[in-house]
Amino acid sequence: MTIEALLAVTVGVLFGAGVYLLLRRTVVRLLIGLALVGNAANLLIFVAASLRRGVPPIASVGETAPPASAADPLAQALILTAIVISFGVLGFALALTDKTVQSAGSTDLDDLVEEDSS
Amino acid sequence: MTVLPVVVPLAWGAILLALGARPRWQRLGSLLAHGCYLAAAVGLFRRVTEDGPQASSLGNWPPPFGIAFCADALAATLVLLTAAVAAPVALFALALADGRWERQGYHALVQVMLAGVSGAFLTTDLFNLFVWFEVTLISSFVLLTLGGGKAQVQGGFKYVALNLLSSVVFLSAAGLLYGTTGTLNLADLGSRPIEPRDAWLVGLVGVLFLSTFSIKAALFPVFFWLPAAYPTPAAPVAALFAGVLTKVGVYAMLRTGSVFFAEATGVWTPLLLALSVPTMLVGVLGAVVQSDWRRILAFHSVSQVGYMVAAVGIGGKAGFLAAVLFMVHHGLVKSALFVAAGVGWRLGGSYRLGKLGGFARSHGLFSALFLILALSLAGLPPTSGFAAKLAAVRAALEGGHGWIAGAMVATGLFTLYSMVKIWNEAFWKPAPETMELRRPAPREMALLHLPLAAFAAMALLVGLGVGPALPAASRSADLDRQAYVRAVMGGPEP
Repeated sequence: MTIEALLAVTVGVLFGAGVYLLLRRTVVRLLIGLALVGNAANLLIFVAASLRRGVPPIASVGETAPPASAADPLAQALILTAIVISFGVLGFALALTDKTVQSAGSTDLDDLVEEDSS
Repeated sequence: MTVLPVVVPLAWGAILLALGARPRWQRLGSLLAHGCYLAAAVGLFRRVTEDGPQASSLGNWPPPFGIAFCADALAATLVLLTAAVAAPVALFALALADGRWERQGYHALVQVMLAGVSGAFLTTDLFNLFVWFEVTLISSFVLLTLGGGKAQVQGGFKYVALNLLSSVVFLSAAGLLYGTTGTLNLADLGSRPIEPRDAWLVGLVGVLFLSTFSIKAALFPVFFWLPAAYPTPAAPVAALFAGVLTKVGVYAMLRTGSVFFAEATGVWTPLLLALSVPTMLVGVLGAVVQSDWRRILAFHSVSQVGYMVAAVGIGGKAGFLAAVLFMVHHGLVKSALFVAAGVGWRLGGSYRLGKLGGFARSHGLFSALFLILALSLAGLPPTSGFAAKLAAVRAALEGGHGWIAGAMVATGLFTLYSMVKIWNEAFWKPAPETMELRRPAPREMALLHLPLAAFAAMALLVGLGVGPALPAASRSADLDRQAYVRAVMGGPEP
C-alpha cells in the first residue's frame, strides 16, 4: 500500500512539473514538459493496474487464467507500447523543434509566425 | 476481411518506401495503392451491408483478450468515405508532384496515414485506438511539415505539441479506465454494468477521453491548432487532412459515446451539446475576417465539426443519422474545396484572395465545379450539404434543442457569406494586374479538374440520393449497440 501511495505522489509531482513546463514560453521547456507528462502517464498506468510482486502471471496447465494474486501483465504491455511510441514521437518533435528554432531565430513561442506568407 | 483496409495501405506504404526516390514508380505505385484501398473499402462496405457487423480477432485469441477489429455500418461507411476522399486527392497530387515529394516519401506516408485512420475506425479496443491515433499522427506530422517552409514548420510545431499533449491525456485516461474496470475492449465495457462505487471515477475518465477526442476533432475551446496547421502544408496534404483527420475525432466520440460513455457518465452528452454551439459560431465568425482562401476553409472546418458534435450529442436515431451524413458530406466537400484552393493557387500563384481574380472568365469549368462545392458547404439543395444540414436541424428540433437548431441555421447563413466572398474575390472580380495566370499543360489541367469533378459528382449523388430518402432513413438508421457488442464478443442472436 505504501509503495502505491509513494508512486501515486510521484505521478502527481511529474504531472505537475510537466504542466508547469508546458505553460512556459520557451520551446525547449515545452518539449521537456511533454516528456515529463508522458512518463507520468506511463507510471500512472503502472500504478492504476495495481502493484504485486513475486507471482508470475502464468496460468498453470488446465487453468484458463493466471493466479489471482499475480500482477496484471497487460498493463505492462501497454506501457511498453506507449514508451516505444513516445520515444519515436519525441525524437521527431526534437528534430522539428530544432527546425522551428532555426527558422524563427528564437526559442520564444510568441515569436512563431501566425500568418501564412505565401 | 475486416482488417484488409488496415493491412493493404500498410503493405503499400512499405512497398512505396522500398521503391525509394523513383518518381515514376512512386506515382504508379500510389495509384495502384489507392485502387487497392478503395477496393478493400468497397468490399468491406458491401459485406457489412449484406451480412451485418463483421468482427475478427487477430491470432484467434478469444475476446476480450485478443486484438479485435469490428466493422459495422458506421465503421464501414467511414472507411469507404476515407477511400473516396483519398483517391481523388491522389490524382490531384499527381498533377502537382514534381519529383521532390517522391524523394521525401509523400506517397508512402499517405498510405501509412490511411492505415492509421482505418485502424482507428475499425478497432474495438481503446488502447488500440490510441495506437492507431499515433500511427495517424506521426505520418500526419511528417506530411504537414514536408518541404519545410517557415510557416509549415512553425504551424506544424503547434500541431505536434498539442497532439502530444492529447496523446498523454488519452494514455492516462486509458490507464485509469483499465485500473477501474479491468478491460479496454469497448464491447466488453459496453456489456457489463459499472459498480456504483466506481461511477465517479468512470465519469472522470469519460471527461478525460472527451477532452482528448475534442482536441482531435478541433472542438471549442481546443480548436486553435486547426486554423494554424491546415493553411500551411502542400495542397494535397491539406485536402486529405481536411477530409479525414477531424472525422477520426468525431467518430471516436460517436463510437465510444454510444457504446459506453454516454450511458456510463452523466456529463458526456450535456458537454457535447454545450460545446457544439460555440464551436459552430466561433468557427464561422473566425472565417468571416480571413482573406486567405485556405484560412477561410480551415475556420469553416471548425464550425462544421460543431454540427457533427451537436448531432452526436443529440443522439437517438435522428442524431446518429445526421452525424454520419454530416461526416460523409463534410469529408467529401471540404476536401474538394481545399483541392479547389490548390487549383486556384496553381493557376493564380497565391492563396490570398486579394491577389486572385477573374477565374469565372478564364476557367469556366473550374468555376462551375467550385460553385457546386461551395453551395454544398453552405447547404443549398440539391447537394449533400442540404441533406446533411436538414438531417441535423431536424434532429435538433425533434430532440427539443431549439437553440441548437437556431445556431445551425445562423452558421449556415455565415457559411454562405464566406463562400460568396471567395466566389466574388477569386472568380467574379476582374483579375488584378499583378496576377500572372499560369497555363499548365493539358494533361495537368485534366488532372487538376478530374478530382474536383469526382468530388462534385459525389456531393450531388449524396444530396440527390439521400435527401429525398431522409424521412425513411431516419426511422431505420440506428447505431445498434447490442449488435456491435454481439459481433465482437460472440454470443447468441436475440
